[in-house]
Amino acid sequence: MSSTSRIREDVARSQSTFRHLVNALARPGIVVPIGEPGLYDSRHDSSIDTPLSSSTQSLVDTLLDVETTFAVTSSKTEGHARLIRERTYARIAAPEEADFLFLLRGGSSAEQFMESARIGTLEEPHRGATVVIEVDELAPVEKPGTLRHDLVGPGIAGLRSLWIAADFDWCAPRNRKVVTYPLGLEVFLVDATNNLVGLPRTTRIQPASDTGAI
Amino acid sequence: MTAQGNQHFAFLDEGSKREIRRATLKAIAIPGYQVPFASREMPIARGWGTGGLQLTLALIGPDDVLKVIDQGTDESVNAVNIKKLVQATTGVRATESTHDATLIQSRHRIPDVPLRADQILVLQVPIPEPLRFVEPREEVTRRLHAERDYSGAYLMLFEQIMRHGHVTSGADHPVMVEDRYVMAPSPIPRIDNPKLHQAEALVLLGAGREKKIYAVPPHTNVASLDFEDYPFHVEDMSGRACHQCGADGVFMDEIQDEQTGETVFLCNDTSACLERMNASGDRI
Amino acid sequence: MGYVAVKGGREAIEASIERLKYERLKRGTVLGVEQARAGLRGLMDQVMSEGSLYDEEAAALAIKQAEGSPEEAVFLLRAYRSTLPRLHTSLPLRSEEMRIERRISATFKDIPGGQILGASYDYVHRLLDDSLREEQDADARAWLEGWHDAVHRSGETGPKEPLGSLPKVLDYLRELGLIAMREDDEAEPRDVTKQTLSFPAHRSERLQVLTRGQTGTVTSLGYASLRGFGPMLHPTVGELRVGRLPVVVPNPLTDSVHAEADPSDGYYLGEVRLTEVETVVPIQVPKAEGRTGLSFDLGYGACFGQNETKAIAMSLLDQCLEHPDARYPTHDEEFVLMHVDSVESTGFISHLKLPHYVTFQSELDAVRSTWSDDASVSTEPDDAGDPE
Repeated sequence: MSSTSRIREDVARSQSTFRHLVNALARPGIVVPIGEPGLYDSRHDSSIDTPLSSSTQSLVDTLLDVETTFAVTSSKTEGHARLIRERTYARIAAPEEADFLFLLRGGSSAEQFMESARIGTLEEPHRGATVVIEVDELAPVEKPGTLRHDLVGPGIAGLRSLWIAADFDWCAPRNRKVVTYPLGLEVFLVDATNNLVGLPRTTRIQPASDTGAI
Repeated sequence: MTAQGNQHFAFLDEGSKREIRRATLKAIAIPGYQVPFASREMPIARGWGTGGLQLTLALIGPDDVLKVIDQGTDESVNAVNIKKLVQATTGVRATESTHDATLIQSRHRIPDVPLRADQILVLQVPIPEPLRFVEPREEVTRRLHAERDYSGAYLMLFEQIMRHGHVTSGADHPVMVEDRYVMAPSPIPRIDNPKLHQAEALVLLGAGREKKIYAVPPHTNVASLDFEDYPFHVEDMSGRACHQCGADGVFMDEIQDEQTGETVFLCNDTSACLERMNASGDRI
Repeated sequence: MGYVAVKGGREAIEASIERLKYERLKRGTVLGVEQARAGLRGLMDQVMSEGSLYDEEAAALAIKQAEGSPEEAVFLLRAYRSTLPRLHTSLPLRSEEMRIERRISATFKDIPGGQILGASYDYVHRLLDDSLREEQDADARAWLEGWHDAVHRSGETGPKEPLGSLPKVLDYLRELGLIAMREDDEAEPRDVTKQTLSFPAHRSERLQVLTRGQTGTVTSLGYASLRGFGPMLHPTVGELRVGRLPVVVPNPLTDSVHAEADPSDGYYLGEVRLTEVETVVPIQVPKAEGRTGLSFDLGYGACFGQNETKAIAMSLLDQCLEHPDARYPTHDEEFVLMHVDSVESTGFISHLKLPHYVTFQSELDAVRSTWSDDASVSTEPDDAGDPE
């Protein structure tokens, strides 16, 4: 019969990560696993003094390459930027120009960073940026320290709830960027235990403590 | 370096897959909007499903179970050709059972068996632009979508009603997605359009020649274009029953019985028909 | 025992593929890949240009596999190209530095560096040569020996100027003040293989689509523009060059998006053979006080390999498309650029051979329903027409 190709580990990882991202964006608010330890984990590479979390590393490896641009803000912005660039050949750009924005743990001026991100144009809404935000915890059920968020929109039957712990307000800046659909951007939330949530621009999300309907 | 032929899993190199994957994610985020992508040449010709094929190749993994159909059947030459290529470059298991499949690539039909959340449907699209018949230029249709100006599509339907008393679009009847984008659902018969509305499964659509990817996420509102006094209607299958399994209300092929000369109807979705026959244990 | 699906599609395809192989082998001899590469230079150059892949070994293999069909060989190369990772973009090639093999101009008889005829079919008589029937490899080697001796002996009387730095004829015309000086356009070129073509097209996209275009199509449209499906201008070939240029990629780790690439920090990959044409076209331009004068407009064509007709036609179309004009299809960007690609056009035409049963069934339903109200009129041929 046909010749079967043995799949390389990095190829398999990218493919499975991509399927999780598809699922996450198609069903906003579900929590998917990302960044299982694999072939390359910058945390175990002694030559790197600014490793990325394995979730963020997974996203970088799956989505970035020489054809994309990115911007980073983190506790070690320069080091992380160089790591991403050398690993993928993706080019560094200003936040208002970048295809991908990484708002990682310890990053400064998160709100301005988000605010400058691209939202596309009416003729090219797909040019809106993709923002990866590292938060503390993502859970489909209540966990200590987390706050319930309610989500409605395409991909959600009725309403879906999600519990999130973050030490800064990413939700209000995000909501401001998606208020003029079809303009907007996509957000991937990742936490420290390899969980990911996808928020396409169509999702209406509010922390549960807010009054007022979604 | 000599030409070694292709050695990659799923034919494409990782850079090509990444580009398709990036476009796919944006398509899911903006339901019904056509995302441009750098459609690669495939080993099968343009017009033969290269858009759907690129989606399948970017999605597929070693644990997937693949079903490929063309015009409702697994055995058509086009479906077999695509299945062969994907299997040859991935080694994945193929199936004819819609139940068992995780990834279904289809030309011109949505299976009669309702799809589940763990399944993805990839539709092959010849002409992704629903306004192409009223406006041949891409720069103009891009602006019409930007401004949500769909008067052209409604005008086309209106003219059909004026001329014939009702809408005469056959397959590929345009739909409105989440009340924002008018979309070409691909040349599926009208009876399949309602399956896109609030579905369990993700539906991805790929046009290779026109270089567009678009999507209908699950639980998304999809409404076939119509007028209040001329509501959308599906093909009239009344009075028809499948000659083999007895089903009615599904899309059927019309066949001339060679011996008797009479017209008989058979389920267009051949694998669903087979399953009905085997389940009922009847022989006809 | 259950029902099973009607099989046959896969077997039919496999039988078809066998039958195709029979066609390629039925005369009992095979074309060697090296023979294709050595003896089918014209087809090789056409296929590399349309395939948009400079790889002589791959082109020769494609030609053999496709039994010489340019349509199929180009398809094979493009599909192969799709599997190649694209990591780098080269620095711009400077054609002033071309290592010339052929260089002519129709503008002046005496141009700096001279008219160098090189290898061309322009000067041969198209008479079928029977002696080629008996030609053997040994004859080729003997002739080559003689050739190399003669070249060696004529070493003292070399060309007037080094072949790697012949000035451009158009620069000469610029110095004479006959063509306007232009500033280099430093805008990042777009790549239609990475970002879908959109209209109005960037000039870089237009040139890329044309150079990848099907030779016959580009030629015909160029011809049409000359024959009157255009504003009846009389273009002149300012310069046609065939030769080799080095390809260098910049260091991928240098700075950000906007940094200038330093050529000395680059990597040399090899050289490619190119045909380049610059055409001058007289046009009317407005002058002071509402009068018009004449000036020269330019058209540019370039292709992998030696593809002179295509490069010239490309330069004509470049100039046409720079001046959109609704009266002429050769001046309609969408008309020209959407239809010159070999793989796109042959693919879609061949797709008509695919079954369209479902769409036809739907149309049938629609057709029937427009007549169902008329009891007296029927679209069915006279039948024992029992109502359903």
